Amino acid sequence: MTHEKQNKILDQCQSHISGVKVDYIDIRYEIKKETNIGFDSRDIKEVSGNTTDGYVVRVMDNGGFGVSTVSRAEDIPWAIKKARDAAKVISSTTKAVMADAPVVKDIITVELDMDPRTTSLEEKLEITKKYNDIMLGEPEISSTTLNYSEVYRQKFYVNSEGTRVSEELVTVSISGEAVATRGDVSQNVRVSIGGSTGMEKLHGREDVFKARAKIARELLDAEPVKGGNYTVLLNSSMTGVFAHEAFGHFSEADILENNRSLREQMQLGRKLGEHITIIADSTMKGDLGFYKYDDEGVEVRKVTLMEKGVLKGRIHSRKTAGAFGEAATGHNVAEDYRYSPMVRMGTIFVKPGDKDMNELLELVGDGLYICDAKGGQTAGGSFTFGAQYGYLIKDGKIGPMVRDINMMGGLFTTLENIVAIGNDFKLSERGGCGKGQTNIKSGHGGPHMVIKDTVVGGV
Amino acid sequence: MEKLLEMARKVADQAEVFLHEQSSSTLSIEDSKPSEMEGSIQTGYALRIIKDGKMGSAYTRNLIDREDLIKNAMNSLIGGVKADYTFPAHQNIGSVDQYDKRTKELGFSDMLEMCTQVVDFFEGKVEGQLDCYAGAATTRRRVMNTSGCDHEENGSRFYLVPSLVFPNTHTSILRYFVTNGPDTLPEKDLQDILDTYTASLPVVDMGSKKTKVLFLPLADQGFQWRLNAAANAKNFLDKSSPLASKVGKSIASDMVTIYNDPLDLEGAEACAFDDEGVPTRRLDIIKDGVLQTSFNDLDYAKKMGVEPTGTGFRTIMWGGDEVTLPPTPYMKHLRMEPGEHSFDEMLEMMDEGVMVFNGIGAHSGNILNGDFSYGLNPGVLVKNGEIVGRLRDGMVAGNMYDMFKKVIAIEKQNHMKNGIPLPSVLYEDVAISAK
Repeated sequence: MTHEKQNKILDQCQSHISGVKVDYIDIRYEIKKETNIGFDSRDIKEVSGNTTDGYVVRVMDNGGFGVSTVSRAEDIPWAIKKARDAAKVISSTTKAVMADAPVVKDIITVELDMDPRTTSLEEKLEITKKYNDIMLGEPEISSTTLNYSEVYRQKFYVNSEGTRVSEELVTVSISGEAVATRGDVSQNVRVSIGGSTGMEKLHGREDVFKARAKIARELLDAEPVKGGNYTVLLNSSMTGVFAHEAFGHFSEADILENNRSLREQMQLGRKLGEHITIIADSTMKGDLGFYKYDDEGVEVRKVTLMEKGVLKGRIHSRKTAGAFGEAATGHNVAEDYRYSPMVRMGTIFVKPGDKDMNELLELVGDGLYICDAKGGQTAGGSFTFGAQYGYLIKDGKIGPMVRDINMMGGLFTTLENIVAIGNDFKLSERGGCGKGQTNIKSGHGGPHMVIKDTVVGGV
Repeated sequence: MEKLLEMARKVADQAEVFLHEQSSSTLSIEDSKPSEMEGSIQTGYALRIIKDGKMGSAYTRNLIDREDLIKNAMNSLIGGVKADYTFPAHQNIGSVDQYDKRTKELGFSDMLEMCTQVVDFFEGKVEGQLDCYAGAATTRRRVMNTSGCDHEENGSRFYLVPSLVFPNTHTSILRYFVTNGPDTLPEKDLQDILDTYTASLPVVDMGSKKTKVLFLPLADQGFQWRLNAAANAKNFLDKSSPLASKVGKSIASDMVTIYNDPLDLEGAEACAFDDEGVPTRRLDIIKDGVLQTSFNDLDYAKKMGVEPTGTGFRTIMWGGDEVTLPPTPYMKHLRMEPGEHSFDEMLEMMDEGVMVFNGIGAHSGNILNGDFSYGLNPGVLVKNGEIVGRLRDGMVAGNMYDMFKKVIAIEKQNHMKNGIPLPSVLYEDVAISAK
């Protein structure tokens, strides 16, 4: 889209909110283009390319904050009225303050290695089919699901302070699962490749799909892990999920803002561990979580959340930054035009330490090597996350494969129980955090990491 | 919609137009104070066409450029998605009236007043934090196709969710109250929540062991996902489901009857037709412990050579956007037949055991195989029929089909779980991992 066209849309957004007599108002118009290709085993289940759009209006007035979303332009007056109504009701009991943010006028064009918008649908279908066929060609693989997903967001943001930002974001992935079956037993393994830099990361990845199918097959011979307390060695995927699920959500200031006890427990400067440094960084070009401005026009910045076990920072929207008396960090992000933005961590990772794999295994002695995240969830200070497979560790040596691994813990005790951090490093290629909305750009990762005294639930 | 359907009819052998419109308001009370209010109107149209036995699809939020929508659907034919079935003709369907116009008229100040009544009830009685969430939504759904089907339904839903948070945690005792329209909560129900919360305040340890476990309805969601995967026609067809060869065989205690019933008005989102225009009906999946059938959509009904079961919905396991997702087999209205025991009787049956209010991480694990491993959120230790306290960092794990054989009691009363009425279920010999 030309800059002239983008400026015209920004002007239209401006005209919708100009003249509205409130302390603050903003509007985000967003065009979302999606291409989806879906395989269920040999069957193609979906091929589609679609464009949708919609508006989000936010109002702050007399300390009250209200939001409304609509999908039709003719409903914008309703949205403004509804957001004002909400702000009025809220202001009767609650007074919010928005942290200052620089006025910005900018148009950001996405930089891509291979632009999926100029790649034919036939080529996307062909590459997805190729990887699907690789998995189906492996012994004992009974079924697969594999989906090509391409999401293009063009965001237009205007607020009553004068900020005008247009930014485009492109995310592509091929993801799904392979199911291996023997008799009544089925085992599945997930697979995912992609990122925010275009199609290049989707090419030449045959080895990934072959390896994942092999793991699914090996799981048929694996024993379920026995529930109990273990010293565990997490691989980078699991470390990333730990950083995201167990810790990261408690660095999101909207989680803390109205939770008295967590806010007290997560006070900056508090020492919660010894070894671990955790960073939220969506400024790394080429990384899945990269963006320039959040969905309230604030430039995102790198935030060190924890340094050697000491809480150093947290991530904010302007509203939460106001509530904490801190600076906005540019982390107020929405899934798309259907949603008001909320505080999201983008890419989060554990900084590598100094131990190599042999040293880590020796530290574990007897325990579990837990590999590749299979979803996670938090509830306050507690977290649970699953692993796709793992191995017993005996006398510092990796032993037989085990399955059905879920680990649980409390954040604060687990941080104290981190024994060592590896010197390797890897980031995820696909996100999907489901904190109310899906964030496909929620990257995470880190090195291998050892945690003692961890509750593992087996079958 | 009519115009779009007529235009699509001219370029395809068959066409279907789906409309989903939702207007909603939500309110969050956190730490006894309103923190967020949001309004929304979201509309969307999805088009499916069948041409030469191949499926094309497209969707949009704004039905401004119909030609572009049809062009997108035609372009998607390139995928060669097979569609050997016919869109259903118009049929007489049952009436499912769950629309309460008071929900549409509800303002933010009304919602705040209702939440304030809940907050006032608990104020001063809760050691930890008090949260409460409220929402009101009205929906309109319509399916039209070139076979003559034209079904439309309106619905409404109002929910209130009081949540009593344990001190120094974010773990809570919460309960969903879901109705078609705004109704005040009975004080008895609020008192029940408070009593359970108060009894569960002490933190206790029990170590890892196999014991009796009472799953409350909210903790049951993980089982619903697992049965939705295993009884899905797709997984029967490719034989990846552990149930694929067990139709007619006993897979559970004879106390267990599980069925899908979109016509049941006790639950939310009742509907007389699915998202493909097929009339809905009660479908027994497990009856008296015996596996009865799989469930399907139009596509898999044709592939398996059976009648469609009225379970083709535009959703996936964790929800999703009705407009952008294609229809797939999904049981949105799973129920379990209530049993014979009161809740108190079931507690008395626990010499020692764990009551699971909610699970975290229920979406992880080998879902298709029925394996699960949840974090207890919270899990409450029961001894001699009395709550002793809540467990620190506990997990419950097992295999759903093994569990079905270990059922020792089912509650005779349903409770609302996210709009789905379900009883509590007591199992024996279940693995708990805890400190």
